[in-house]
Amino acid sequence: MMKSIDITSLLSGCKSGDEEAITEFFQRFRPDVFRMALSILDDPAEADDAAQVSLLRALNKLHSYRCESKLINWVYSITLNECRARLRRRHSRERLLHSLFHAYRAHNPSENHPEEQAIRNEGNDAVWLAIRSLPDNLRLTITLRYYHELPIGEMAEILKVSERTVHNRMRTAHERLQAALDERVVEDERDIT
Amino acid sequence: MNEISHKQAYEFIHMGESQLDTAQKEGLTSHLRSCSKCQGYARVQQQLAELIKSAMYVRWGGYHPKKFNQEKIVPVARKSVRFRNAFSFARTLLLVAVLIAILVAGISFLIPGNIFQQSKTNEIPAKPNANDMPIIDIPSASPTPTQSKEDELEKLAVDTALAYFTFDYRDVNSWWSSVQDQAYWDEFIKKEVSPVLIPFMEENKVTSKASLISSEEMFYKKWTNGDKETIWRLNLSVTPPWPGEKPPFPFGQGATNIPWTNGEETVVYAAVIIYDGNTEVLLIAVDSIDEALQSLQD
Repeated sequence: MMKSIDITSLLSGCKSGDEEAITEFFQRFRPDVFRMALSILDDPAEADDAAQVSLLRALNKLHSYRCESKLINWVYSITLNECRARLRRRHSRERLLHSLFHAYRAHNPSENHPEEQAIRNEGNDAVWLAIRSLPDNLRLTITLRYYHELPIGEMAEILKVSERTVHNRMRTAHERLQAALDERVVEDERDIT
Repeated sequence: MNEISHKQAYEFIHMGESQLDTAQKEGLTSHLRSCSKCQGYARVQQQLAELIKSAMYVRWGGYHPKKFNQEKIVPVARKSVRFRNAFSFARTLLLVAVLIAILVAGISFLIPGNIFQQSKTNEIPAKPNANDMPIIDIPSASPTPTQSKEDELEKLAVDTALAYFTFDYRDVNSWWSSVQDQAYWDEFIKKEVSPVLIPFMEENKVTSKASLISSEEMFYKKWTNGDKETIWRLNLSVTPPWPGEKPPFPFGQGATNIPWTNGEETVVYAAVIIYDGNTEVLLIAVDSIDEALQSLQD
């Protein structure tokens, strides 16, 4: 069992390429970084890959870390950038896939495609569907808030926006989700009362 | 902070109770107690937040990162860090080298005689302008006596018509000449070769000239005192009038006194020649040299 290293020694060791420090760095931050990547990418395998890449990138950029924010938030920023890049690539692939799918359906109307089946399954969970329909920036904001339970200040730091912007995004996301889930919420209220 | 607006209440609701400080919580609670609209909004938002959390945890909660493959990942990470460090070191080294090169070049450029300026000096020099050349006064090995112009001569008139002495004192450091002229000395002048030019700084010596009048030799005696002042004395007697060839009387700084006697009557022509070129002449008739000396001293 490896002993825990204080943050200063950890940074110093990682910068000099110390094996123990690097191992500690990965073990300490990997679970959180994975959760962050998963919440953005919504794909465990890709999140695992993104977490590893993000941690390697953070390790190589440690010399630029100025201790102005929490180390984990700084690593989150790098993870966020990595995941956003992956999302952009994925959206491009999805658009291509969507076009191919429609072209395929035009020629085979009765075929039940696995992607379509998956969408139908997700439809069962109205909340998740509503969350997924949000733009990336709004979805990321409520993910940081409700899944990672980060304070507004740290969210602003990670997203590199002002706290006011975080508030606005939170409000907009709530309004859109509320609109999407309006009927269901009303039903829940009825059930409660 | 008990009184808050609807807008602030909405913000506090979105922030969640855990994000609020005590004052904000009190303000929100107070506001919700009195505002049914915000109370309903808060309830809906709370339910919404719970739904979102629930959906997210259900969605992602079951996933965990793969087992950390230390043997595979750490060596890659170390290699990456070391490469970055080496690259950073090399970059710093290169930067320092470039800065040093710039510094050396700058200093070399500023120092006289550097390679840049040497390249300029290797060029064929332009022919200098004659006006720019310094004028160097090279003295000749032996000064050449020159004839004085008459208008530059200082003349001494002697009432006894014994003689006229003209002193041409052009440069106290170079030349002193004496010329006999006119009347009683006409024949003497012809024989004596006029003007007689004697280098001022010659070493001590006696120049003998034959006098047609008295058949006596005339002596030009040169004396140099301790201050390198030179005194010339003209005397017609066969023997030096002053024993020991010592200066007969003290001479003032920067002045030359010339006594003269014809052997019968002693007349002292004291030409006090001042170094700035002005000449003051004293003519004193005395019975003896001693008297002449005394007169001059007075």
